[in-house]
Amino acid sequence: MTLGDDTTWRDRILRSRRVGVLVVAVLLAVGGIGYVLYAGSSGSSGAEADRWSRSVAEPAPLQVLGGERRPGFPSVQRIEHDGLVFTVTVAPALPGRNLVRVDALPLEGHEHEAADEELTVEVDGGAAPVEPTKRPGSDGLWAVVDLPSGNPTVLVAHGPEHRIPVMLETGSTGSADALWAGPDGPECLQAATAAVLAGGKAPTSCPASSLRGSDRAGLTSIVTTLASRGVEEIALSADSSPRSAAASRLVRRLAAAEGVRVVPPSARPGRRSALVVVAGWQPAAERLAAVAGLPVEKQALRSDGVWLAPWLLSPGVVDSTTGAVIPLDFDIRDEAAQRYSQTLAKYFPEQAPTGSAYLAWRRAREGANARGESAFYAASRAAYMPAEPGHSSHETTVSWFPGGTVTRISLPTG
Amino acid sequence: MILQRRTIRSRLDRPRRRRLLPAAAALVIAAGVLTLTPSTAVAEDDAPVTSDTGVGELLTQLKTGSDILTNKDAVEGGDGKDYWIKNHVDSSLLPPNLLQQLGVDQALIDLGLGGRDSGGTVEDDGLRHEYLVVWAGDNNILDKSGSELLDLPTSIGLDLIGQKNLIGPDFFAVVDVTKGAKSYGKVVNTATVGPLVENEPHHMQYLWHKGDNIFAGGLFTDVTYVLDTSQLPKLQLKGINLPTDTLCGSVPDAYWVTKDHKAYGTYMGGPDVPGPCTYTDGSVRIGNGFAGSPGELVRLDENGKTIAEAPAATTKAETEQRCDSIPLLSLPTCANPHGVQAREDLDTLVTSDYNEPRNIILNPVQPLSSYLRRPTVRFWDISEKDKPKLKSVTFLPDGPRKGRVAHHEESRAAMEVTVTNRPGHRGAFAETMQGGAIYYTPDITVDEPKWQQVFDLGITNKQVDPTSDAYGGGSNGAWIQTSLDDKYLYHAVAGRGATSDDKGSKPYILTLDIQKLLASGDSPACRIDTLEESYSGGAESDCPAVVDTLEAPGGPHWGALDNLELGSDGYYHETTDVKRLAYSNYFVARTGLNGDHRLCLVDIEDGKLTRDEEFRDENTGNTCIEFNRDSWPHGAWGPAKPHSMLFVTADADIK
Repeated sequence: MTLGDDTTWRDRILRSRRVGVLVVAVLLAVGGIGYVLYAGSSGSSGAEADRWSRSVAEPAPLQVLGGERRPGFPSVQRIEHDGLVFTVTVAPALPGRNLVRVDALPLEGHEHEAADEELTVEVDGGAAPVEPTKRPGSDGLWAVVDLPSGNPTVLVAHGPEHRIPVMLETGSTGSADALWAGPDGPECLQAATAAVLAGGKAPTSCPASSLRGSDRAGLTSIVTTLASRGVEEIALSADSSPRSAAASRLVRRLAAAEGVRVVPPSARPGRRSALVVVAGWQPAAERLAAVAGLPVEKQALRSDGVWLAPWLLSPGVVDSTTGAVIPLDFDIRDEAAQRYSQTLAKYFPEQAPTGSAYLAWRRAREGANARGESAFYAASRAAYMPAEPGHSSHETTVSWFPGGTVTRISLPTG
Repeated sequence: MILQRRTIRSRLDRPRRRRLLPAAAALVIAAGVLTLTPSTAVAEDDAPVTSDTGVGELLTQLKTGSDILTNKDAVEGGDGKDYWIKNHVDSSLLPPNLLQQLGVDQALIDLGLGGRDSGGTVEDDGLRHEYLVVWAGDNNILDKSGSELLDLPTSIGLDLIGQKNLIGPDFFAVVDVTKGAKSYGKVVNTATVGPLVENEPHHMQYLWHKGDNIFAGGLFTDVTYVLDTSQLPKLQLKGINLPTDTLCGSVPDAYWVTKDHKAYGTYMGGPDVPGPCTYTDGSVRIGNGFAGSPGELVRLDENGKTIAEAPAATTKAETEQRCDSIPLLSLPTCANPHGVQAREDLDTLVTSDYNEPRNIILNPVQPLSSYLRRPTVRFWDISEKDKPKLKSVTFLPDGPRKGRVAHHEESRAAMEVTVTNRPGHRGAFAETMQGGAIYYTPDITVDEPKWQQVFDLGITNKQVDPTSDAYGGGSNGAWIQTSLDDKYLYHAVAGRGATSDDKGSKPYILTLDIQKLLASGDSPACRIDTLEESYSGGAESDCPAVVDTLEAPGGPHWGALDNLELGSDGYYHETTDVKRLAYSNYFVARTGLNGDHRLCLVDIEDGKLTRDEEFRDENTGNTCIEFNRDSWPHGAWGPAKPHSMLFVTADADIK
């Protein structure tokens, strides 16, 4: 094979150029805009001139993705400031409640670390600042803000002395889906970002807004497999999102058809019992971690383990339990999945790859009907060595499962 | 001769060679004589998985002037998919006699490229060559710790994470270790495997014997690769064993190849799917899933096909010492087999249980249980080799030293076992990675072998570095191997990292004299049963005596004896008088115990160890081969992680 006649290779380059050109063009365009650095304490509300100092010495926040700021399009902006690199993502960038993700990492050679408690997020002229917090099931720091229509500015403050403006376009029509501000928001945001990163359009809905056909197939394979293995009882963990509600109905219907009883997770496990989780990232991670954090002798003894819905391949979820089985229609070792995770690592080294985001990426590149071969995977911790004193963190921010593996364990499930 | 060869070679400038590639490829099809194809470089290995044209340019540069001859073959896995190996032989390092052996010479002659430019620039040395085959993993961004990933770019440009950090192929490095050869210490081939990446290459068998294939495991992919070495330096893929071929076990660790060229493999982790699993003999055990418990012993045919899965857990609770699992199993078991060695003449195989693989790292949370580190050794009846049967489960006794944490107690984390070899000996040794102890049992054939501690690394930690903390716990001992004449015991010790209140301990290779211990027959007196003995050595006269310690900076984890000897007939023969060993500095990066990724050779004389100073890195000139390098025959994939190695020759070169 040679470079010239390798269509796969050519396609690869063309695709990569698309992303590269997109990003570079944006940098060039935005780089000339100039700079506004907000500095100083929050001060009195009426003295705007006193609150801001203006400088041309440092660059403005750069729009990292998308080419321009526009309503309904996740805005990702990055700026270096005070030895830190801030990456601020605001989505869906529509009037109403929006989700803000803040990543702050020290620049190479700088010791300065952003203390989470020093960060606040507010809308210029809006409500009081809020502290971005971690969300179970996902990485990053998150805050919810109310954006007005027009050209609002989100201010990310790093201590009392430093404020970074993130200018947005929310337009005058439309409003943000409630899912963005809820527990499924991080999944919405990461999927939207991945779609844009792939050169596609920003999705108009969140993954949690409906149960996709591929999710339905995955859940069906879980229930039929458990039944065929002799499982007598499914403990079902769900939440109130439209997707989870639909999934719950599906699992119950299938289980009934197979003669398998469905019980709440709090029920004492029966002789042959499996936990099936169809909730969103946050409740799934919270509930699994609550069990995993118990002394081993107090953890529920489920003979047939934990089975996760397909959308739960997020490091924050799978690392909340010691091991789980998950149906996927892709392998994280596939070339396409690697391309996604490594592109993410390149442009967003603070963000871990997730299944939902990858599917959004894949749809943007290959079309809405893109499907892979469905199979079961084991998502399990797989590194083995005591966390000795003095050992550095084992975690990487780019792995599908830091300190673990997601390994195919079945033949195609149809 | 060399000058002439070079002169002629200069006419074959790179572009011309590339133009000839289609013809060469056609020859492969037409004549079937060419086993290796002059490389169009790494197009299939470059795989990635990148969004940058920069990498493409880099690869184009790599292609320019390639001396790399490639050959790819594939086998069909149990899932119907193709799994491949691709050789990248560096023809610039091979003398004509080796190229002829590979069939390249004739092919080039047929293309009008024969004569002295038959693909090599190395003078014919007339030697038969010996190689180290090293199973190495691509080191990439996934192996970095969080703190290493915080170097955000100041702008979005080409290749921010860099080719070195992309996920590349894992590979077998073939290193020439023929004394006197021009290519001594050079990587003459890298055989990449695919399409699976991120295998986390781990162990092969302990020793290679004529006619054996190599069995090599990937921890994270739950896969065993089987390689034919008969045409070294080229490797061929003979078979692949996938997770679906060993449903009752996962996380393959180590292999022992029997005289019929079949193998036993230890699968440390539990069944792929939590719940009951039915083994080949029809018995059933309940497991808590992939990388959990209980593990199993797998019998593989010579091409890696599963013959039998045998349960390592009994049908009763193992309670002599605590055996936790997470989640707990209704029947507690410590069955996570790691090390494996056998005495076919005694119909006995021994496995040691290390850890429940998936539950060791709970960082940043402290481990929920120290009792995931196993204190057990299992004995198997292999009188029917294809039906291995668990015979007994034995617990290593706790020693006199108080562990600073529970898993530093002497018996914890029984990583490796090694059997004695001579017909008059029936004993075996076991070592504990976190426990820092060595145990001995004099007879592995009895119904319930009894273990006694005969050494503590606290004895040698202080000898290696008087300023270090002698405490033996957590010293990270790993590879342990009896010399084939049963005189010595070799042990790789990676050392314990220093902390604010612990000076740590140094890494080293240890030789113990075990002759008196073995001579004591069924009643060895040696016992480390006082604290004084933990630091000064056993008081009994038959206790192992320290012969030598070789400081081994970088953290040795694994080793192999060179059991091949060049005879006066010019052929290699197997020997029990081992004169050198190899060791490598790598464990598992994602555990935090990594290593500096070097491969070293050590000469042995009466148990005394001397690092081979002629075995030098071809790029840096430093002693030992560095796997942290920019480029390989298969491309500029950057650093790699060498876990295990074997001394091997081509089949025609050994009698």
